[in-house]
Amino acid sequence: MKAAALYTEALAIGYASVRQPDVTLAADLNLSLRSGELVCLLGPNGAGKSTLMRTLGGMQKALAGRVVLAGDDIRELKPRELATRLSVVLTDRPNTGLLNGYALVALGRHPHNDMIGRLSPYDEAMVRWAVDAVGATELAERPVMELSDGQRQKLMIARALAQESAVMLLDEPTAFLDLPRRVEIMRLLRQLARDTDRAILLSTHDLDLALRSADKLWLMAGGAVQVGTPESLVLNGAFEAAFLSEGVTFDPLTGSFSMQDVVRGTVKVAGEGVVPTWTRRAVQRAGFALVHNGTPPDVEIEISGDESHPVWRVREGDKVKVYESIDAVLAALGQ
Amino acid sequence: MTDAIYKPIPRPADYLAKNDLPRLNLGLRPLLLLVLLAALIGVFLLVVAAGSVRIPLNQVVIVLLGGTAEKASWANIILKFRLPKALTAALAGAALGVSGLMMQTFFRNPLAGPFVLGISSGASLGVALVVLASGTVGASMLAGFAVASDLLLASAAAIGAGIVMFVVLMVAGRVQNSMTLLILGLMMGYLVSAFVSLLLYFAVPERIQAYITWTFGSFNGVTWSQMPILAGAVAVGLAIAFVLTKSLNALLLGEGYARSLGLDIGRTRVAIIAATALLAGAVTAFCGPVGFLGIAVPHLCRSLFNTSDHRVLLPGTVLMGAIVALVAALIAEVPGNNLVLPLNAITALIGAPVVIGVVLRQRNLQKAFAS
Repeated sequence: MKAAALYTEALAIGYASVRQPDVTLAADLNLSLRSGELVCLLGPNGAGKSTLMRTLGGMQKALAGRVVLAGDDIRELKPRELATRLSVVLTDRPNTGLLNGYALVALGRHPHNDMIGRLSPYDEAMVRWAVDAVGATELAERPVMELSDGQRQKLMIARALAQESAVMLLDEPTAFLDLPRRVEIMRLLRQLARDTDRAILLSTHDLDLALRSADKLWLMAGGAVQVGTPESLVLNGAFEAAFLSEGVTFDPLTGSFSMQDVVRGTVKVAGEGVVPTWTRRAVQRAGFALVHNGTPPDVEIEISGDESHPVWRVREGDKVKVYESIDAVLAALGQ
Repeated sequence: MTDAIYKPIPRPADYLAKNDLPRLNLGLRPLLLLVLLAALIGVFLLVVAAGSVRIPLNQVVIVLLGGTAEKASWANIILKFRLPKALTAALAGAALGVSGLMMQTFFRNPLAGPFVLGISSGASLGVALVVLASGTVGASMLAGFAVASDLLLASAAAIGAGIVMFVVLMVAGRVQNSMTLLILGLMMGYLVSAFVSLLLYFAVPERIQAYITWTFGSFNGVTWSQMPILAGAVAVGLAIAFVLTKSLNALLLGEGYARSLGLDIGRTRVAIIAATALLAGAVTAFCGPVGFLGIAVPHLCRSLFNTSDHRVLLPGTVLMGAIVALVAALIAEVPGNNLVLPLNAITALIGAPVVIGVVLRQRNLQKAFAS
């Protein structure tokens, strides 16, 4: 296993204040980030995700312990040195005024280039590479302010890439984006971590996406951080516990959260594939609980026919009825 | 299906190997700077040539190059009056433009200008104290005031501006964000202006007139003996500004990102404020509180160069500032007449419509600034 690009030793994070006692959000954290790894930091609102990110990035003082970046305590690094080893993408989308894409990404060369920021051929090559790497080539000569949030975010990631740092921290990079754009950014980050051998840590509220794309999760709740692969954290119940709240349940089988309504009965939907899956979602939304094990359900649904013309056979007690659309099934269950 | 859309990430090494690529298009138009330079030289010559005595342009060039003019009085007029005036205008315009640009970038606010931190208020308090509160100065002395005490006024203005800037600088290193600083500067300005109002209220009318004349602003008061002080202060201020080019560019992303790019925010903040104080303070001391140039010139430059990159914006603002100030000086003299209009009225009269035009044409002004 590779050596950690960044690790923490007995780190305590929170806010120091002069007149009141310090507010500690989490303590005794021993975390490590490795090159080539995409780690997602998850946790409910207020758990201290942003504070942890800011502390790791040297933007906020640790209350105790230390953060070690490529062998050095980040407190001992000069701002410029720190910038060559660690880059960040923040939640706020700065409006960069009248810059084009290349000019924006070229700002990432600041820790490397001369006093007035001239670009050497090497700097230019890195800027070009970073822009291509995030797939923003066709945006790069357009004014940044004409771009959409997602496009701008890609350029901000390119800027962090151009900084040539071994570690990248991203604070909610997918916030404000629509779902396809979120998937695209996550996929990009995962690919960047592997192909460019960077250690990437991102915080997100996108649990589903994090479960699917992260190599590791840092699950932050109750002043502690649990580390593990997404799957192991789901299986040991840590994931469910971290996000436990009223009216919402985590379904380990589908790997997603569902809105828990009044249970009007139990349903079993047989079969695998697109139609059964969406049928399950429909009946769940209608207020029925799904049963997977041997418990006899109130209603049993079987699907036959091909995918383009499915037929639903609904068995309720002794009665069996056949429907040709989910709408009809729901209408029948609603009675 | 996944394979079809999976494109591998390119490798940096491939880009380093290619050496036949064109330069990156950063959207900069540095050649426009040459156009501005030519315009500056033209306006400069016009200012030297125009006035109550009209001097032919070719004679102006001859005198400026050290030759002998057709009329000896022309050389006298040019070297004693017109050249210092034109130089003062050019220096003041460049200084105010650059300090305005730095303030707008630093505060991420299109309305910021050289005086947002209270420089002009500090200077006016200094001047007001000298003009209004020197109780022993009789009315007879006031007659010779304009000539004898120019340097006294300049010193008073510089000290007033300096004290206000010192207070702001002391606070600048400690506050968390620049918005606090902006509010602090504004409040300092109000406080100081309140003192000036009190002084005005209790002063004799003749002295009030002298004070008001100072507030009109003028490029005519700087003598050759004072020129090195003004030019020196402006040169140092501009030098600091050029060293800050990269920091100012980083600040376009906001302080958080700027810090992540290796910028020492505290030190940068102090340098920006010190440079602004030097530039705007020196100009205010010698020319009075010349309004508008500092706000308008950076906007003109952004719209002309269509970029926020300070590598072209800074030199552009130096040239544009000098040009606009010279044009204002030209108009204030009312060609073919002995009348000299208040400079501040002219800068506002030509500046305000220009800024309104730029702002209306550039609907994305809001986008070009703070998020």
